[in-house]
Amino acid sequence: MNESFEIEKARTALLASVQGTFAEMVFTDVTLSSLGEISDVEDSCASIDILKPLSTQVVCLFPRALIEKFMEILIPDHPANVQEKDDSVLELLNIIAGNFLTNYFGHRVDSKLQLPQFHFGAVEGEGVALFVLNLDAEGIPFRVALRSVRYTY
Amino acid sequence: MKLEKVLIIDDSSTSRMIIQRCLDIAGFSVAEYHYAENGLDALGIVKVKKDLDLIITDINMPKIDGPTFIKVLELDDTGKTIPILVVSSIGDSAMEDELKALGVSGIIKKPLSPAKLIETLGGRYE
Repeated sequence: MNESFEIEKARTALLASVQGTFAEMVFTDVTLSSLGEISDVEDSCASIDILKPLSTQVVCLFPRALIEKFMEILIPDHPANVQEKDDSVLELLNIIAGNFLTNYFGHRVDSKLQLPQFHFGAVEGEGVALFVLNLDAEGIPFRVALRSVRYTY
Repeated sequence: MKLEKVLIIDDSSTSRMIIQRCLDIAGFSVAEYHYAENGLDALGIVKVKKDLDLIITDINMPKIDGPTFIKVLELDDTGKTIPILVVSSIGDSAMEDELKALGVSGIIKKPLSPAKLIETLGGRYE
């Protein structure tokens, strides 16, 4: 992690990224939520590794209801299959990470991101949770977190 | 920025919709969107819709992938005049060199954003 990393600036940048991405891509308003745990066993947990310029990981926990909402908006003409649902989570997470970097560093940021991926169960391993955003998408609680992870590449 | 016909090629329907959304947000006013799941289907559309303003394609797709689709299109007098934008997760410099040699108008590495579309295409369609 870069020594000059600013947690509050990152929190603001990630929140704005999630709100902007949801508003633009799935026409959904997102607000900070005071709700605590979301423990639906069918939640989708996915993450994307940012290797450069920060060594971090963006993690999202989306309940099934939220993914169904994505599908109703993105693909309204037919019932979505599992692949389409998975794609929506990964695509949105990819955009959230990109927008987060833009919000934090500006448009000309030289970045390197890995492909987003799903996790079965909680995200574990090396790294430290920097902060967690408990959010609400028009009545559906979900969570996005930023973790500090030291990557080598 | 007005465009009459845009063809979006991606085997993920979600990706196709997100590309369309980014174009809309970037301020491209597109009259007709056309979609294909792979390069083979796209070639069929190009033959019928001869006056496409822009093609946006993924790289990895079943049947005919993005680079092969572009190569085939280059052999066609009508197709080779259509601007092609490649949007992909692949960050392979050899692949990028190959695509540039094929004459693509731009390559955007995901994550896609309206700002990246404007930066890559804005000058062409002002």
